[in-house]
Amino acid sequence: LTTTMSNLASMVDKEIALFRSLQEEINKLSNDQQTLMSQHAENEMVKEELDLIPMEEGSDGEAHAVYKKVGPVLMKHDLSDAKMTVEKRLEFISGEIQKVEGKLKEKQNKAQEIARKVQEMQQSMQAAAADAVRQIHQEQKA
Amino acid sequence: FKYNRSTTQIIGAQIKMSDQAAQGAQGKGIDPDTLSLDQLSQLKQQEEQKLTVISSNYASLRAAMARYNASRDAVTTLQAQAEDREILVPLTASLYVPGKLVAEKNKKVMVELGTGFYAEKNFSDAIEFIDRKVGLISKNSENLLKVIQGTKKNVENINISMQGKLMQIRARQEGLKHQAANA
Repeated sequence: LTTTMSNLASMVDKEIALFRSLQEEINKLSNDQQTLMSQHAENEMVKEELDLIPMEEGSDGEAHAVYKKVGPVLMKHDLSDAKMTVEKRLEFISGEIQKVEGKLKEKQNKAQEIARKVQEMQQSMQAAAADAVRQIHQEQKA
Repeated sequence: FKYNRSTTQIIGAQIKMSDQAAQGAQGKGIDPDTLSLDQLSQLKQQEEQKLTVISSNYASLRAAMARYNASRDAVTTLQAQAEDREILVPLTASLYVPGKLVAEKNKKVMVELGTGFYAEKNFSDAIEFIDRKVGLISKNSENLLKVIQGTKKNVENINISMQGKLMQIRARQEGLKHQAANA
C-alpha cells in the first residue's frame, strides 16, 4: 500500500508541476491579450479620426494633409493610403487577438483538467491512507 | 511635442481597461460572510492591489486631460492673433532662439492621431479634435472613478467581515477557556 501511495504522490507532484508551467503560460498569454487589446483600441481611435477628415480640399484649396512618423521624420501620406494602412493593421490585430484567445482558452481548459485529476488522485490517496490505518488497527487487534 | 505620443497610447490602453473594469465591477457578487478569514485576507489584498493600479490609471488620465487642455489654450491663443508674433523657439532644453510666428503662413497645426499618424488641421478643426479627445477622457475618468469607489467599498465590506470573524473566534476561545477552567 505504501508503494501505491508514493507512486500516487509522485504523480501528483508531476501534475502540479505541469499545472504551474501552464499557469505561467496562461499569464503570459493574458498579458499579450491585454497589449493587443490596447493596440486595437488605439488603432480604432486613429481610424475614426481619419474617417472624419474630408477627402475634398479644405478652404485653403489644399487637401487635408496626413503624415506618418518614420523615425524622427514626418512623411506625408495620402489620406486613402493612410486609411487603408490603419484598416489592415486593425484586421491583423483582430486576427492576433482571436489566436491568443483561442490559445488562452485551450490552456485554461488543460489547467482545469489537471486540477480535476489532481483532486481525484488526492482523494484516492486519502482513501488509501484510511485503508492502511484500518489495516494496521486490525493487525494490532489480531 | 513629444508628450503627445504617450497621451494617445495612454488613452488607448485606459479605455480598454476602464471598459473591462466597469464590467467586472458589475459582474462579481461574492458574499464576504461566506468566506474564511484566510480567503478574506487574500481577497482584501487582491482588491487593494486593484485599487492601486486603477488609481494610478485615473491619475494618468487626469494628467492627459490637463495636457490636452493646455494644448487647447495654446491653439485658441494662436487663433486669436492677427499679427505676427515674436516667440522663443527651444533648440535644447536650456537653449532658446528668438523667432517669429508669421500669422499669414500659420493657419494650421499638427495633431497626433495615434500610432504614429499626424494630421494637419486648421485652428477650429484642431479645437474640435481636442474637444473630442477631452470628451473621451472625461467619460473614461468617470468610469474609473465609479470602479474606484466600488472597489473601496468592497475593501470596507471585507474589513467588516474580517472583524466580525475575529470577534467570533475570540469569543469562542474565551468560551473554551471558561469550559476548561470550570471542568
